[in-house]
Amino acid sequence: MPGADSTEARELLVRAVEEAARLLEADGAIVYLVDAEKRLRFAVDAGIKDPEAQQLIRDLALPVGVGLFGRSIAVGEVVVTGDYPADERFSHSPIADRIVTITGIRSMAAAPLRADGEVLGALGAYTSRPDDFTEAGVALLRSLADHAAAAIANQRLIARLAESQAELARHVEAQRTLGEMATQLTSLRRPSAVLEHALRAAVRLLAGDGGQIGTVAPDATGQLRWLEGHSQVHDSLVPFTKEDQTPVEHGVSGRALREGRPSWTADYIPDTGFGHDEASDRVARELGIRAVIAAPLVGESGPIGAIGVYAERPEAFDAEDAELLGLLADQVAIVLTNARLNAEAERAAEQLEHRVEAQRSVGEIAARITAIRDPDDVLQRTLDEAVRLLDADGGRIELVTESGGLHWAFGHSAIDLPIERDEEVDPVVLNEGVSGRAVIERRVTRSGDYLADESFRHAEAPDRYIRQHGIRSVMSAPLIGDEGAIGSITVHSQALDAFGEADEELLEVLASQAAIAVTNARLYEAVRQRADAQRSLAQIASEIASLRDPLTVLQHAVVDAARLLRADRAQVNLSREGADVLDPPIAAAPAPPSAHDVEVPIGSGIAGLAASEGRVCWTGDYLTDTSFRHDQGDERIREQGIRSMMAAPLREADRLMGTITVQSVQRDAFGEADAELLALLADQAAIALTNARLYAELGESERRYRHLVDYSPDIVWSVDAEGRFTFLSDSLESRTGWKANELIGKPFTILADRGSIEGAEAAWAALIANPLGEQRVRLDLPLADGSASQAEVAMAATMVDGRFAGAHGSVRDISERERLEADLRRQAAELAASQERAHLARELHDSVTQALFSMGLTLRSLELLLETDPDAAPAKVAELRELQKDALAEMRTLIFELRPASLETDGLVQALRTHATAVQRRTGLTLVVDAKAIPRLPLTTEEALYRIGQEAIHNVVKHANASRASVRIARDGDFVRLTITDDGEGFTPGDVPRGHLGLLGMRQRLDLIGGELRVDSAPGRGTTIEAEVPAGQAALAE
Amino acid sequence: MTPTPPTALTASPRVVIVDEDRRVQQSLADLLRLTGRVNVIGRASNVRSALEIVERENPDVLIVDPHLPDLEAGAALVSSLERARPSLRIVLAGWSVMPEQPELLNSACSYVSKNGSPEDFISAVVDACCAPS
Repeated sequence: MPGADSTEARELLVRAVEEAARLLEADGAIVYLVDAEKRLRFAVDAGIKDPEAQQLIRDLALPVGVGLFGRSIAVGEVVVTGDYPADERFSHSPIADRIVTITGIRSMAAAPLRADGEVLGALGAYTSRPDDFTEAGVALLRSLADHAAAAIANQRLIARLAESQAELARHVEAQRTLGEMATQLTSLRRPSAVLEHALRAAVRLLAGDGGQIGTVAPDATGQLRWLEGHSQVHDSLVPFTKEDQTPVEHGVSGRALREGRPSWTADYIPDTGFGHDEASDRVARELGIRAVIAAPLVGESGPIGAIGVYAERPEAFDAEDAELLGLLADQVAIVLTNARLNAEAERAAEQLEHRVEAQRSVGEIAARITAIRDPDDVLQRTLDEAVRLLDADGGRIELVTESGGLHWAFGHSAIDLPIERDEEVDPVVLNEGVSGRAVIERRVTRSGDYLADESFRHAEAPDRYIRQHGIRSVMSAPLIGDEGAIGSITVHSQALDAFGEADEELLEVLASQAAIAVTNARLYEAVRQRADAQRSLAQIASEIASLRDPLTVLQHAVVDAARLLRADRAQVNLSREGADVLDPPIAAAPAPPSAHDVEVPIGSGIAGLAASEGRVCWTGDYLTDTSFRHDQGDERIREQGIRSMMAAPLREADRLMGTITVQSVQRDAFGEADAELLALLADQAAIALTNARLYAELGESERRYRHLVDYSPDIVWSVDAEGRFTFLSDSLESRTGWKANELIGKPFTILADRGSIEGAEAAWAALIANPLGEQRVRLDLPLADGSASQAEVAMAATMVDGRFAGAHGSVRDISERERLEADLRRQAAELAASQERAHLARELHDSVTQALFSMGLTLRSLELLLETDPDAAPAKVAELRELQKDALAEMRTLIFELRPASLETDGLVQALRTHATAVQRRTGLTLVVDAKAIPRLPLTTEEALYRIGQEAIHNVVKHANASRASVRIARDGDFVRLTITDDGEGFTPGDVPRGHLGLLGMRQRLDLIGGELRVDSAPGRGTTIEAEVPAGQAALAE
Repeated sequence: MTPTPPTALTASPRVVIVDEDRRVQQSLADLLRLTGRVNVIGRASNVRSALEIVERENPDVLIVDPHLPDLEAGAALVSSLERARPSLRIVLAGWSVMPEQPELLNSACSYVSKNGSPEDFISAVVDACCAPS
């Protein structure tokens, strides 16, 4: 008992009993103290000599209330007796009575030791004398007792203080140990090391012989099981692992975990306060385990483990140990949690690194995409990367098919698993399997244990594959394109729960990357196709320049159409003028036209519709489409299994030339974009056809031109910008004796004789100066035999892009032309003469003949009247005279209109000579005709000049009174001039009455042919009449 | 010249002259009247006026110079009248020996040439006009 055991308390009590025995003159004194069980226990005595009594006193353990001391303690008052054995005021104890007897006690007094309201015990004195204690002696005893009690109370306080100081020190020590341990623990990263360290510390702190520490986790049923930890027996440490999978429901640890607080037992085996299992009991017996204490390791969300310490002695642990172990356990739990967090942080860091690598891979994939044009390649690479980055065993990519299912597209296996193949696996119906669900829900979906997972619908084929190859984990992400889900990417692993949230993210990134890649690749493919299409169109366009054969052009068109529109067949049917059907195909691809091909009625069928409506027409399912008229062509369509058809008209302006048609055995094979493309191909083909036709026509006209050149009597030539011959027609040889190839490349002046070069060069310079005009030059053409012939060269500039690039023209043999011209003139004159005669005959008939006929009839009437009625005759005669006057006037008119026949046949000069000779003979006037050789002029010009000459001669004869006159005709430069001069009286031109001398008529005649009249006359000086007409008219009039 | 009996005068055919030239119409009409054997009831210078007169006067005889102003016009007039009025007697008076147009050559018309003497011409015309049909 604390306090009583202490030396200071004992000495205090010894002094108290000695003082009491001395001061009360007693035989002895004794102190009894109350123990924890409320029994009186001997503390010290003074004066008892008998050994038996001494022993009895020491062993005495009386309950409070028994004996005189017990009575004093019970009532809390001083109790005094004068004769102990005989006193009945208190209950007696045999042992106490025996002691009293042995020691011969008669009188006894006991005073309670009271401190702070608590009775600690009693102080008493005795004598062998009866009734020995006086009032004063009792009072003295009471004061001695109070004094001792206070001393004891003080002593107890001191002891308790010391005790609490010690406890504090122990706490400080424990805290220090815990702190140290915490530092050590937090420096440990492996949970296993933490557990080991904590266990050792606990065994040491609790002075145990061994212990156990381990993590726990609930199993599927919620029962806690040991995961991993250590067992310590003395100094040796034995790890245990989760493989043991021992439940943690029994034993002290089980109770501590269940109750969530430390728990202990004084002796393990016999304790029934907790469950036992055989294995643990066996170990406890083998190791001699007695006392056991355990505490739970509690984390943020429940128990994560337990720690226990055992001792080979019983009752080794108390509440304080429990508290200490609890503190240690909390510390360990915190450290473990930290360690787990650390591990997670580390894993996160690892994952981050992983992610960085993944992102880099994704970036690389993205970068590659620009280089990879084939979407298949992109998908395969993405899958390969996904399997590698996610540490998967393999993977697959499925694509959404048109029918809505998912179809195997790509596979990858990192381990030695067979890759699923198209033909082996049925398409997954959407919503089946993890990938189906991923596509339907458009999010990453995973399963840690595929076959056991009921959160998605299972399908037979994937399940079989997974079962066969022991796959546990599957994760799938949808590939989302611009127009929805286009497929899925899936990875799988034979490990359980192989994929986590971070993996989901990574797969999602890869999936979106792949989807973008596929979309881009498809776009690129579309662009490439379009570019291909344009290239083809451009190619066709360029071929037009080189291809002359329309059939070749059309053949190219159908080959292009079949390829660009992915058609099973493309064909062109041409139309004939006025026919109501298109001809059977003239060109087809890939197979050439066959004998089975039929005509296409315009207005029915797709091609017929395109032909009649002049636009692109198509159908996605030919035989069932009722939007157009069907015909017997359906039979052929059915035979060939054609579903889709598209046709475009070939047109030149508004004229239908035919159709181009593409066909496919696929349903809905052609769309709007194809229509556009086919229309372009049709237009190109139509242009090609038109060009080919135009080229053929051009060829024909070239041939005609060539023919003309070859057979022309003229030499046709061309020269370059420097005037060197580039072409000379074959007629060169027959005309000149030169061969064309002898002169090609030589300057054109080689065909001008020495005297003509100047004129030829002047004409060339004039042509360059005015390339739009035409130049004509006459020159002497040197012939191969050394002679020369007169030639006229016509030349025109050859313009290329608006610039002078040379010249072309003809060389005409003039002698030949003159003969031709003479022929022409003669023919023209004959024609004119005949026309003139017809005119004259008609005039004569209409006027003079009718007048004469009427005169004849009137004369006959006159004859009859003279016989029957002479009085009426004079009136008839008057009628007759009128008729005669009429006829004469008409005759004069007609005669004036008559042209001398010589003018037409002999020309102007000869006609004037004839006329002059006749006048000279009739009048005697001397008339001289002076004429140089002049070119023939147009008949109208010659007639005008003849009439003017005639009139002028007439005037000379009638008015001039001249003796001599001359008529002169000459060419003067570009003009021909007729001059009539006489030596007669002359006149003042202004004085001549208007209309006289026929001058006005002369002027009028000249005006009509662009000539001029000049009259030079003065009285006494004769007269000169001059008529001038342009000579160039002669040439131009041709 | 033998005087014509009154009975014949009363029966003298009613004649229309068709000629482009008014002087010929005038002199021919005067001479025919002097013969006393025909009754000239009208004159025409062209096809249209000729048809009008025929319609209006219903003559017995038409004396036609087919130059109206050309032979085609004359031939057309003759052909149409032959069909429309079979009873109308047509006397062609032309400058050639024979009618120059094939239609006229094949027609039932009498033909008198203007190339002969006035005496011969007028007697031929009168005979043609008065010939029994």
